[in-house]
Amino acid sequence: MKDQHPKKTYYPTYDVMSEKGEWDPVTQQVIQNRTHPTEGNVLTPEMKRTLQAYSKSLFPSHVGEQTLSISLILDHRLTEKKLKSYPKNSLLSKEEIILYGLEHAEEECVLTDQTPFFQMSDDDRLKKIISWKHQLGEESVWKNVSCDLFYSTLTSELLKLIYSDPSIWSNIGYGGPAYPRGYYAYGPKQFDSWEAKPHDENLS
Amino acid sequence: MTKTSHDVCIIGAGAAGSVIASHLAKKGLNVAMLDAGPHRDPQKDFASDELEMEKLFWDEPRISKGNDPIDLYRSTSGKGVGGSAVHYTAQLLRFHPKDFTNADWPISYKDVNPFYEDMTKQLHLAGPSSFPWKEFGDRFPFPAHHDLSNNTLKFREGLEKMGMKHAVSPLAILSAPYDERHPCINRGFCEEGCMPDSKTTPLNTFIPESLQAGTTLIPEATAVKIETGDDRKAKSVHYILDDQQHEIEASIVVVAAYAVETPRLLLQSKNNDFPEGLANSSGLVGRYLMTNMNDHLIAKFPEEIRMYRGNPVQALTMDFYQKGFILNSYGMRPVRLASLFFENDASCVGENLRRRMLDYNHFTGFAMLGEVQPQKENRVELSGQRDRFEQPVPRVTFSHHEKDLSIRKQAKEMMERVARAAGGEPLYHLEAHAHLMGGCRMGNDPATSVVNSYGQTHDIENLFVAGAPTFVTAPAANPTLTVYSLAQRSAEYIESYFKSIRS
Repeated sequence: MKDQHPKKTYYPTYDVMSEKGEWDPVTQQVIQNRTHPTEGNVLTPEMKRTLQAYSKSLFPSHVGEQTLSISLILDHRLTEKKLKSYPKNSLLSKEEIILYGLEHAEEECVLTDQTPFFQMSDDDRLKKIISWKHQLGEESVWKNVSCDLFYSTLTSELLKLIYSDPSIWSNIGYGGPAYPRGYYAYGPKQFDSWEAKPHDENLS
Repeated sequence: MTKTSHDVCIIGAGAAGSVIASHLAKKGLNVAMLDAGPHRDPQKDFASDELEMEKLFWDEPRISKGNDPIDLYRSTSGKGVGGSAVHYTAQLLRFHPKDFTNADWPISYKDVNPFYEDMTKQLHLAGPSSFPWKEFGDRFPFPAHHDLSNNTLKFREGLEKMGMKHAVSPLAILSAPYDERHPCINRGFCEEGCMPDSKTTPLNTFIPESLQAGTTLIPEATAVKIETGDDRKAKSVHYILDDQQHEIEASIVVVAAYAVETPRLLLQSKNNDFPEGLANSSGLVGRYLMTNMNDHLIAKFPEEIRMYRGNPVQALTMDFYQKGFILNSYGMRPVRLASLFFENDASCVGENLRRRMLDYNHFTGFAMLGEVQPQKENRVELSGQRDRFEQPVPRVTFSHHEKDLSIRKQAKEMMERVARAAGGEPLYHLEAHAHLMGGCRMGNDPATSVVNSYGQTHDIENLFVAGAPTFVTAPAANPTLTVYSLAQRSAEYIESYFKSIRS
C-alpha cells in the first residue's frame, strides 16, 4: 500500500497534551470540548458520512495523525451558529454552502455512479472532489450552490479543524496553549522546557 | 420596547467610540453606548486557541465582491466591546506628515500631533529609546520589548545585512508593570485576545474609564436605524436587544461602527427627508472604501525558528514607507498559516499541506503592510438580501488599483531579499489584507466629502462619524493610533458643540 506518510514528523516523542494541566482552566475546557465533542443537531447521518469520506479523501496523509472527530466538531460548530459569515464572492453563508453542498454531493454521486459518496472507491471520490474544485459538477444537481464554492468553503473549514487538533500540534512541534506560562527562554537555540525538544535531540 | 433619553448615543464601542464615550462622560454628559457584540472578560471569555477565538471577528452576513474581494471576517473586523482593537497586534504607528498633505485630508499633521502625543501616553506605548524614523514620532513612555523571537531576530539580521534601518516595534503592550496590569509574557496569542491583559485595548482603558464616569454601555445591541426629526436633525437610535426593538433619544448621535457597518447604517436609515440615506447629499456614503495589503512571506531556515513564540509583530522597518509599504516580522499560529496556504493555493491540501506544515518550526514569517489607493468605485452598498434583523445585508465591492499591485510586487521582492540575506530560502508569498478605512471620508467641501475633520456630517449637524470610515487615504502604517487620536480630537469638538446647543 502506498505510504500515506512519506515525510515524517521531527518530533516523534512530543505530546503537547502532556502539558494540559499547566493551561488556564478556560483553555483546558475548550480543548476538552474539542477532543470530546458533544452531538450537534444540524448534520444528518448521511451528511456526516459524506463529510467523513470527503475529509479522508482530501487529507489522506493526515489520517492516523489526526485524532479529532471532524464530523462531530463541524456539526457542533454549525449548531452553535459559528458559520454565519459569508466567504468571499458568495451570496450564501458558510453554513448554507456546506449544507446545500453536502446534499448536492450525495445527489450527484447517486445520479452518476448509483453509489453514495462514502461508498465510492478512494480514487473515484477524489476524482469527484477534483471535478467540483474545477466547477465540473453535474449542473442539473448543483442548483443551490456552485460546486467550486462548496469545495473551497468546506475544505477551508476542515483544515482549520485539522490544525486545531492537539495531535497535529504535537506532530508539527507547535507549543499550543501558552497561558499562564508564556515563553521566557530567548536566545540562540533556547526553548522553554515544556516545548518540544529541538528535533536533533528528539530524533537521536 | 423601551425608550430612554441621553445627551449622546454612540454606536460602536471600539477604539473610536470608547475614546469619545470616556471623554464626554468625564465631562458630565449623559452617554449611552451600544455594541453589537458582548462585553468580554479576558480571564473568563478568552482562550489560548485560534479556533475558539474566532468569536472576536464580525460574523454577520457581508457580501464581498469585486475583482479583489476582501475577506470581511478576520483582520478587517471585530465584534464585541473593544472592537477589532481586542484582536489587533497592537503595533501603533503615526501616519507620516506627508500623508496629510498629498491628498484631500482637511487637516495637517500639526492638527493631529497633540493627540498622537496624548495617545502615546494614554496607551502606554512601549518602544525604542530612539526611533530611527523620527518623523513618525519618538519617545515612548515604556521601554521596548527585549525578548525577541527567533523569527524577529532573523528579520532584523536580514535587514542589517542589507544596510537597512530596523527597530523593535512601538507596541501598545506593556513591557513593564503598570497599575494592576502585568507586562507581556510572550504568550503569542495577541490576535486571539490578550488573556494576561498586557495588551492595551479599549477593554482595559477607555471602556472602564467611561463606565466609571457614568456611561450606559449596552452590549449585544444592534443599531438598525437612526431617526431624524422635523428639524432634519438626528433624533434617536433604534436598536435590537433580545429580539426586542428599543429606542434611545439623543441630542447627538455618533456612529463609530467601522467602515462597513457605519455607511451601512447611514444608508439604511434613509427617510423622506434623506431619501439617499443620512448625510449622503454628496452620494459618497459608502464610497472610497480602502484596506491595507498585508501579504506574508514564508521562508525556510536550516535551524528551528518556532514562529509561535512571542507576540506576532515585534520589529519593523519603515525605510520603504515612501514607496508605499513597511515590513514587519510576523509570526503565525498553525490555523492561520494553513488557512493562508490554502487561500493562496487551492492545491495545498492533503500531503501537499502536510509536507509544508511539518516544516512549520523552520519557517520565518515576514509581512508587508501596503498602502492602497482610494478609489470611488470601491464601496459599501445595500444588497437586496435581508439579515436576521430584517435589515439589508451590506455588499462590499473592492478592486485593487494598479499602483497597489506595483507596491505589492516591490514588497514581495524586498521580503525575499531580507529572507535570503538572513540565510533563509523564501518559499511562499501569501496575499492577504488587514484593516478597513473610508466609506465616509472627511473634507471641507460637502460636495466631495461626508464629514468635516471632526467627523461632523455636513448634512446633519448633530450626527457624527468617528474612526476609520472618515479616513481619506490608507497609508502604509497601522491605522489604529490615528483612529484613537482623531477620536479624541472629535470628542473635544463634540463637547464644545454640546455646550453650544445647550447654551
